[in-house]
Amino acid sequence: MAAAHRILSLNDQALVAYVSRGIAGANVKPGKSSDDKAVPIVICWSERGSEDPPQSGIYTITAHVQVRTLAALDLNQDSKEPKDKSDQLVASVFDLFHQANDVAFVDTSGEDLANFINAAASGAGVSPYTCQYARVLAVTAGYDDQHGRMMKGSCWVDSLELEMVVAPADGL
Amino acid sequence: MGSDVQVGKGILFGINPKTGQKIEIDGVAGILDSAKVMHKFEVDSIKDESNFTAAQIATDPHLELDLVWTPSGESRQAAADGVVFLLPLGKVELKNFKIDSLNGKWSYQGDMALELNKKQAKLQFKIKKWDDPDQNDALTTVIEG
Repeated sequence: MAAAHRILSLNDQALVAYVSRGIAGANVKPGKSSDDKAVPIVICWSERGSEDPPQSGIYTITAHVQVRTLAALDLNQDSKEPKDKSDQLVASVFDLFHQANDVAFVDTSGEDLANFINAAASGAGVSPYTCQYARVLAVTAGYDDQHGRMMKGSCWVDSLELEMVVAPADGL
Repeated sequence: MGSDVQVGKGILFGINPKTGQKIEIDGVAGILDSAKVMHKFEVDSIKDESNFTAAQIATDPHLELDLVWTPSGESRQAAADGVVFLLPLGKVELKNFKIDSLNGKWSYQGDMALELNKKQAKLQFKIKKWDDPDQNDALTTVIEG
């Protein structure tokens, strides 16, 4: 259990597992990875966690699921094509965080979404980890003209900001 | 006169359990968030012929303690199952505060409130302990039958 409190890295991996399970074949990476991050890509990055209540081992984490898509036109490409492809991937990713659990509404406690994330994390061997609550705090959109000049240039950046309550223990 | 080099003092900080102990109370499974204790008593004032207070009599001194907890357990279900409402005027026992006067037998005085919102649930209630140990023993003994 000595490595249990690397909670931000564990949360990155749990989100990667969840998005990868939801969108087959998508290029999904944790923020803390040394791989090339070629667009289109989904980057799962847990930015900050505060232990609440203090000394409890329970963290409230702010995490981002960032969808980076190519903004530049390729040869012979219709001008709408990059935007359409971007919207399609952004919609697929964002919809994953608004799923209902066999009922006609998304539950109000954030527990269903947490349990979806737990199931994916467990399947990918992310341990010790339990998400107890998750909700979308904000959605943002932007543009990055510096993203990997070697990766074909500038990209759009659409982001989900999440608030998650997680603990480095299994099966809570 | 103070020291010319400030070296600090010991202070009371946080909820203050005894070292290595968890603050516990019978019947409540949770993490203590806050405790606020107030010393209270009844005061009778005796006035002189000009209506100025000439003497005062204090009776029934006691402590009132407001507690706020986050319900918790070995799992989310256990935390939910652990939320129970205490018996009115029932005895509860507090353990492991570093401040000794907070430990011991207390009487539950009602207003137990469970707050559910989009954050951690909070459970709060008020308990009472009399300064006189014999009076406190009598008032925290639940008569059965």
